[in-house]
Amino acid sequence: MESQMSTTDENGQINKDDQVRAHFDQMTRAYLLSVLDEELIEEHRTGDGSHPSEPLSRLLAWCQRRPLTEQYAVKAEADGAFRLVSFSGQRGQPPRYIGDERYATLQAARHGVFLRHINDLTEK
Amino acid sequence: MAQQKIFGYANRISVRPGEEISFHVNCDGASEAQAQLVRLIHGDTAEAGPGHVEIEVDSAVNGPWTVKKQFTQLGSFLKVADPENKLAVSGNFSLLAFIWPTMPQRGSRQTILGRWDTLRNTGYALGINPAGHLEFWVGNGTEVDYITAELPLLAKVWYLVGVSYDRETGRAELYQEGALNRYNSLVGKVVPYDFASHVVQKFRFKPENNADVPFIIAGARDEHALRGPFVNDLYAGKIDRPAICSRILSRAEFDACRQGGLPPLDSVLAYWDSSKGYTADGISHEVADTGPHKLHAKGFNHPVRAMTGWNWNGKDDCFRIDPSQFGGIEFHPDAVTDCGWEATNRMTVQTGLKSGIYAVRLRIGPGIGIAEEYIVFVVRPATPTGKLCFLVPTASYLAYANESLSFDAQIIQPMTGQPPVVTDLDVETYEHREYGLSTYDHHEDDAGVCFSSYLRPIINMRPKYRMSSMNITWQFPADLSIVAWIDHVGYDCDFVTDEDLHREGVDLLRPYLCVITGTHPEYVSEKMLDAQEDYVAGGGRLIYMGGNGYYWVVGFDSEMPACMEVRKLDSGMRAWAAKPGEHYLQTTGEKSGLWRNRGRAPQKLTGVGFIAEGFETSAPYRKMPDAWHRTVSWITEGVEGEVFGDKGLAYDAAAGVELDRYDLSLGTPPHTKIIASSGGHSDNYVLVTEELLYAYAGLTGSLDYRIRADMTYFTAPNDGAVFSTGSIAYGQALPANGFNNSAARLLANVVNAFLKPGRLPGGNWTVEEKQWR
Repeated sequence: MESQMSTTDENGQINKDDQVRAHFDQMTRAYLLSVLDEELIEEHRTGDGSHPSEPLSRLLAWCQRRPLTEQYAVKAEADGAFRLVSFSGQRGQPPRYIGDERYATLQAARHGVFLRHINDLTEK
Repeated sequence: MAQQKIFGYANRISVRPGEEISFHVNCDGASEAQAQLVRLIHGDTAEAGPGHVEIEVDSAVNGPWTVKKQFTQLGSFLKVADPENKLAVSGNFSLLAFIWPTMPQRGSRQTILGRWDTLRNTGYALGINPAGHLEFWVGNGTEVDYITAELPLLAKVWYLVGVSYDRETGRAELYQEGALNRYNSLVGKVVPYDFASHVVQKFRFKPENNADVPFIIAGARDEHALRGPFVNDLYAGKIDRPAICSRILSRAEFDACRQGGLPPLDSVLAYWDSSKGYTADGISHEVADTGPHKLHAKGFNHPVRAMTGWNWNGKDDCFRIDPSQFGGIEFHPDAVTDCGWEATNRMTVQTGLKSGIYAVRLRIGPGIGIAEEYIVFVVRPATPTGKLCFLVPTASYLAYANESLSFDAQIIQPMTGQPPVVTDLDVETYEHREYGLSTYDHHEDDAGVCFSSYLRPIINMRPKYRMSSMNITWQFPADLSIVAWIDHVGYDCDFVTDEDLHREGVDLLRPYLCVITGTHPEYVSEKMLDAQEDYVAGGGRLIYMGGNGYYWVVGFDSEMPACMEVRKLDSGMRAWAAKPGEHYLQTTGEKSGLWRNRGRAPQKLTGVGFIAEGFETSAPYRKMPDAWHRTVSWITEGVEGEVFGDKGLAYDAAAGVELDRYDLSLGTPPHTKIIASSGGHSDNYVLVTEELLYAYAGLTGSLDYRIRADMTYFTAPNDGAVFSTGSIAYGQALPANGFNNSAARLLANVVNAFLKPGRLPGGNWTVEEKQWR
């Protein structure tokens, strides 16, 4: 599902830094796939976010440092439920909903964001 | 039916009983709103606190208001005062300007200068076409002729551009030449670009000059059936020394200008010398025409001045050294510092209204989310009556006004360690973007935003709002937790703002025994800082309730005090970095950036200064040995155990979010006591960049002992004193458990002591204290 789109500068020149980032990302993913297991996912689901294990901290760092258009957020709905959204990366363009799931708690929605990233990681 | 939404602002942020305040409202989907004056008590809806609390107040403004759609002029530009239409040129003419376009390929037409009517296609203008090429065009109301450069303009490169036009023959000649030097442009001379383009064309049509079309620099007149005339075709980038001449200029004459010469004096109709007008205290919004007719131009929405010009030599870093190198004026199509809406209603603040934080609450339709607005303002006392004074950090509210980091800043999730939590209100304001940006945002062309004003709706300066990237209250709604605690305890408190303090200085604070700050008073002008220092030195007692306070150097626009300016530079935790040579405030002439880098680290006033920031979790404090010292043991009286502050609305404890540290090397008064300190923060807490000389692994909460909030206390001359919490989260800890918690108990000890005139508790040990043991 993931696409590594090339960025350009103000004059339309392709930014070759993207190629280097993609190579680094490939190495990072290889490590993360080697440590990813149900225990790690469960640690995220039940943890308080304060002092995660090293594999989980590295996995979270990867999730959080992805390009803006590959990041997710939580939308607090007027009825108290939470849904997942992703950003457009285009100024003034609103985020779009990801999936139909409605979460009862913020913690559950945040874990839902985490699972989306895991899905992106494992599908590539 | 249109989506129902309502937004508004007031013309003042601070007002006394007997004074008038006006309210300006824009509404979609309703023609009537229900208004109610309320005093705001608490604004954090977190379950651990009392929730949103407001008190409805009788007022003549309560009831239905007629509201309507109002339009906002986005974009900065210069409008030329030309009452005699000298620039409605009927003969030959030439236009020229140095330009540094930032978004030539923006995809829309950008007007550099001219007298052009976009609706009626009349007049003339030099600009950039949607494909990024320099273009000159004329129109007679039915037809438009264009001449276009062959090569596109490159972003962030200085050019001299111009055109000469022979009305008789219709001959137009376009001039485009690079004006790079080693410093002034994004790229240098090693890049094999071709910057020059010279094109000649014969026009079929002649420009028609309508009397009501203004000459505009960085935009052009447009008109809409509902909103009337406005400025469109806005330009992004810098313009330096634009001019119009009354005859055809030769290529050689353009070349001479590119070498720094003036346009031939006998030909000048208007020459806006954008490098004129600088003083040691900055520069105004007027751009002087040094030509024969003195057709001065006025800036709208704060075109940015004190910027480097085409001839900047890279050596002189301030306009005070050589103003002639600082003729660059930077324009942004998304800038707005004054919505300029008609007043919807006005209110004279009733006599006897208690000083406090108030709002006019407006509701339409369902009355929630974007169908509800709070227009916030502070009512200061007619004359000082309280013993306690809450200094409302309105400058810092402006700095964060309408920030949209969650949507635009890739870096925000690594910083906060959590996905943002956005609401309909966030999405609405992000999508429509008509209410301007914060000093944490970038303009469309990636330039940092250096101006922010309250003459526009500010969606995060209202109760109940949570900062989406951190999912906690921040600034104004966070400060309401301190307000709620003051109200809960029943202190007799007056409320004043940063704007009041900047204008009136220490005299504003002198009547009070104690001044208490907000949670994050980060943006401070020199006058504000001087006033607080003089207040403490003169015997005042200051309670600094925050973290990362007294940090950025800011200026206020003397022509529009609602507008604040900051430039972020050199070091510090900063959302953007001003370009080389652009580090000085146009509003005051001062170097901006961190107060620490100007010899006034916050430690000198408060005992502590910024050391780390982190999110997701907070921590409690632990008493340090000084807590039991006989001069200060009264501070923790009744606070049982060594650990306290273990509850709160900002990540569940009192030490968190942004933290400050005691540091003798930065001017913490030597006799300062560390009452308590936090520690063991998560690795989302990182050391601030201004502490870094060399970076190394592990500058994070679990590895670096410096990352903590220090609670400090020191005495000052004349029975003055300063108590600091060193943490943003402390204020949000006060309402926890129904205000019955250790953080609140400790703060009450301090406030109660500070509100008693004369010697402070522990004062008998002054002699010993002076030995600084």
